[in-house]
Amino acid sequence: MLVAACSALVALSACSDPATGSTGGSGGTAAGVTLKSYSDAATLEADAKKEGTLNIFLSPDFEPFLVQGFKAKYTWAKVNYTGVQPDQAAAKLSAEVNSGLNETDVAGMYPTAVGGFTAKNQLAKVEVPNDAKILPQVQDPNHFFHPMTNTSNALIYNTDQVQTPPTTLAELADPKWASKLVIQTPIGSGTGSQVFAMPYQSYGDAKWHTWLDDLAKNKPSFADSNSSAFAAVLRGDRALCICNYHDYTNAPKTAPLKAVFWDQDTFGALGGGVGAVITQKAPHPAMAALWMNYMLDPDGGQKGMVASGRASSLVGVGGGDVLPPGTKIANFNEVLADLIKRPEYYQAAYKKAFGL
Amino acid sequence: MFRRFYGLGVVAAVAILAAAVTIPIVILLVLSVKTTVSIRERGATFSNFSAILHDPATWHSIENTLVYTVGSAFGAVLLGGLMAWAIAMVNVPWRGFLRVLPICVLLLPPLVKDPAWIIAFSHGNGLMDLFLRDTFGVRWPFDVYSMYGMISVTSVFGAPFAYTILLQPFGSIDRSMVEASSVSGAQLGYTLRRILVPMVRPAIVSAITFQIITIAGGFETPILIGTPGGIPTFMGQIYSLVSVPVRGLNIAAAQSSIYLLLTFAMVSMYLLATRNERRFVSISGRGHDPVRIEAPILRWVLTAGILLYAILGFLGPLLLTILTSFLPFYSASAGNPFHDFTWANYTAVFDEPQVILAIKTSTFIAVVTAVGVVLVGGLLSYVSLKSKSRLRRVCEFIGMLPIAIPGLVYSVGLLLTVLSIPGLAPIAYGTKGLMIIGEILVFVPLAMRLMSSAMIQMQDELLEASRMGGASMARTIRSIVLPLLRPAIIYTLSVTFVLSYRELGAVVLLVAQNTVVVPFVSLTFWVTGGFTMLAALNIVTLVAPLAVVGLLAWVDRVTTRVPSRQALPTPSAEAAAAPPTTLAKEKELV
Repeated sequence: MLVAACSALVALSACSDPATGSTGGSGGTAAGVTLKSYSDAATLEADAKKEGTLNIFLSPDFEPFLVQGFKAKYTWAKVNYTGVQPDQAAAKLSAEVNSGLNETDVAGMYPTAVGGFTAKNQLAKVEVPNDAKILPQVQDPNHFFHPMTNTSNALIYNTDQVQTPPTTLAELADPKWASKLVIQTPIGSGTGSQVFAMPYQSYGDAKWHTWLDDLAKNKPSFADSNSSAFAAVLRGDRALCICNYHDYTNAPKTAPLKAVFWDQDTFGALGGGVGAVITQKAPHPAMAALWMNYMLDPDGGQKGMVASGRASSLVGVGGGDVLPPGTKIANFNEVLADLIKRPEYYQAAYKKAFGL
Repeated sequence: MFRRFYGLGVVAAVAILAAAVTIPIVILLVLSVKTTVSIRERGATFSNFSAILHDPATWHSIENTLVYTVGSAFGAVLLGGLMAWAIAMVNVPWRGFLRVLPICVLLLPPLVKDPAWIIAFSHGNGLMDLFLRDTFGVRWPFDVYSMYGMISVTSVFGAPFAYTILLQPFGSIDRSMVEASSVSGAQLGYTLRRILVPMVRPAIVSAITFQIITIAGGFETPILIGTPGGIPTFMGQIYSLVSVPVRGLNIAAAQSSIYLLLTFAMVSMYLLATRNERRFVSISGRGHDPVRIEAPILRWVLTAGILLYAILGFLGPLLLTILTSFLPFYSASAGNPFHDFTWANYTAVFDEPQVILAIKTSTFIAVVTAVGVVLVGGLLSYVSLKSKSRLRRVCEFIGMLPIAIPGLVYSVGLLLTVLSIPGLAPIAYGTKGLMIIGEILVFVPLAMRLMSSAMIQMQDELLEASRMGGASMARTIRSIVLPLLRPAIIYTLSVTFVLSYRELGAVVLLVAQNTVVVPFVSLTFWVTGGFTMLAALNIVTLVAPLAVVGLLAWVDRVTTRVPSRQALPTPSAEAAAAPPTTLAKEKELV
């Protein structure tokens, strides 16, 4: 039976048709397909009502607020929601679109994962009325990625185990922080991958690799997510983590935790967050656009984001994380420009340094 | 007529099962030589295999996986085998109570054991460390975030499987064999070594093989303990790869292909070890009297050991989970974490819309899976062990083949199969049916193992006697086979329901809109740092498995016919001294 399977493998490999299924349709533009753009909210809602259904992959954190808020505002809408983390959402989306299955309208993912899809023309550009309200530093000029949050990351430490925390990424390589740090795994496109990439442009290639090797000698612990890294510090498994500042602000006041923002004299701490994309062959494109517009609506979507403790991605909208005065947050697209351009290089470096 | 339907049914079942098993494997193999997840991609490349084999991390994870799986398998079989031997063959007190204790471990919901052991045995802030430090001024030397930690957790929580596999064979050894040995002058140790162990050797080998394969395919402990502890394993890498967009799935497929080579070798080893099953028959048409070793001191030592196991494997994790579920947050960095209790986590759990949906979906899938697994596994076991069909070896191989495929890998293959076959995706993708298929295939080997253990002990002469008496095949199955297998059937239903309810690997990638299951929600809670909410969810989701297991136990009890005292004639002294009948002793064994 195995021989038969191998024979089938060879036969299938040799006789495969040219790959057209992954983009299909009209072939798209050089960088994605442009869906109908909307400048008028009423028209957008009318078109969406004709479709009525939205299929969405979104992190479970957002469900109680964003999804419920959307359903409360558009009571006629049917939302088929699956709670998955951003990296898993990207993986599921990848599996679907590359197989020609067009089930999903919207997927939440990290901005660093978007490039892999746009390179294969698998995402759609869409402009909605509330696009103008997005903060410039998190706005995607190509209109593929629509930010849900503008999260800040901080170095959060357990005060029962650490009295004087590190204040720069360079310090994390000091042997006194051995077996102290926990962070989201750098394999993938999450915080670990982004944080470790931050010093690259200011260090240069050789020094950055040396820093990574020294960091690896300190045996950092890797978690599946920012929140599970935070939970490990709260439990006392590890002394400090680099994770979402909102987890710290949402923690009980009696928790033995404090937060600092690193590299305030240089490039600053990590900002960014998660956003949402629309698939190129979304079965309900108008509903997908309506979702994006709601997400960027100060009254609707923002209320949900504030309730979840996340900072807003919109201009002039307060609430969410209140950072200490003068906190410097790096410009995501500038500091991580090289990571966005060649993520494979960084993944290989992380695997080599940390043995992952 | 029944024979014809039976024959057609066997052929159809084998064909469907063969297709369900092999097609996802083929799809995986195809994708392992592609760079996208489309089988229509032109050409093939071995770059995925090259990337894996030239990566030093791969060999490091293989080494870790070997140490972890072999160590855990032997640990689990040693623990489980010792308990099975003690309960089946030694005069331990409270036998009925002790018998079910190891099984209770299986009732624990998903993602209970690892968090509980993290709480208890972390170096520096674990409860054991706090206790020893505060009481004796010494530190707990054992860190759960280590290879020893991983092996310990998996051995303790894998022991019930070995226990279930070995209990029946130990219990079925006839006293006359031991008596013959002692009459010849042999000591207990010699009898154990030269008679008892060889008699159960196929079961021990199959238990070890089964454990190695299932442990190597599990990914909860590698993810929750191995990854934070810096101990990469093969399955942990595959899980990470399936979360990487675009090429991650192809490399995962390649990595899975390498894994399949190893597990195929294991399955072959298992088949080789059990090919002469007839030599190990001990329940026959003649009388059967189980062994009871009289050990006045050892019995109490073994009893204490089983109780300690129940504390480590069931009561302890359950208690820790209950306590944690009432905490606003868990932190042991400043000492005793158990204070300021609250109901907030339970409120939050029921406020999550996905939780209720997950409980309903998981219950439905587990019920259908348990019934399907018993039907499929029972049929395959019967054909492979008790029939003269030409499909005997095929049935055995096909039935055991899924064990060579880890649940997570099978989940990948099944998903991609559905996505790849034109027209199948709209009707199958994101459905409960797909998850049921995945789970049935994952658990068929276990069901075959559990039911084969009972069938192996049933000599063919019982069936031949029935046929010689003129009974049809249907009558033979109804009147002889099913009653003898009834305990194994009920047991398999219970075990499969509980395992299916908590199975994560086989369904994690098949979850879609409106098909969320409990293990997936549990993992989500863990990943989002909801440690105390996870504990609350685990307690809430204990209800369904407990209810079903309790119901099946009640069914077993009411359907066990106990003869009335008035119906039995008063036995003469000779009749009273004679060994009891086969069926009566079978009831005593169960």
